[in-house]
Amino acid sequence: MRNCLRDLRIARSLSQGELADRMDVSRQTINAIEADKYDPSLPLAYKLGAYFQIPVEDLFFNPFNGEFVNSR
Amino acid sequence: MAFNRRNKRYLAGWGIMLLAGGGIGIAIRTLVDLGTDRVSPSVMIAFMVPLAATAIAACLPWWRALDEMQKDAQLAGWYWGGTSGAILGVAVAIVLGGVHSDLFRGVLLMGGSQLACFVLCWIGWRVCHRARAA
Repeated sequence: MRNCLRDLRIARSLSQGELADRMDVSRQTINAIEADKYDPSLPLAYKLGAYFQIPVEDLFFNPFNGEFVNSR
Repeated sequence: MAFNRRNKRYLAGWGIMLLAGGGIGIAIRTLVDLGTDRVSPSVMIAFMVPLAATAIAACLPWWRALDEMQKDAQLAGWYWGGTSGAILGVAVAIVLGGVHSDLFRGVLLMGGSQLACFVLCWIGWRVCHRARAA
């Protein structure tokens, strides 16, 4: 799932390892999320959102936006 | 690898797993070396089951130290890799010894135990995750 995690992390001058420590995950996991190679669980997504103090929808770009507009 | 809290937990988990695995492996080997003529198979199994359970329990600290992506990698690797390896093992056992060999019987026993425990875990997982119908 595309996201702006890398931009947010760099804006806070954090390395991947430092963010990983704060989230209690491995550096590889942060790298994979940033590179859109791994979709985090909801708890981890919300934890990241809470850490950067933004809604999850602003952190991860919803690929289904607009898909169900005419089906309701 | 930075020596942070997560990695310490991970390494400690590895250590416990290796020590317990090694110790239990030696204990089971000693038991097997005694032979079924000196120790009855039922007594041997009665000793082996708790040893095997302890070996699995010794993996828990390591498993808990993994993060969600590492767990996903383990689950995918064991399921797809383990299943493919098992099928390959069956084919090799048939080619090398035929379907009436001890080798094939061993493969069947291993595959049967894995399948039985897979079904138990699957049912357990479904039961733990079920919710009342809305």
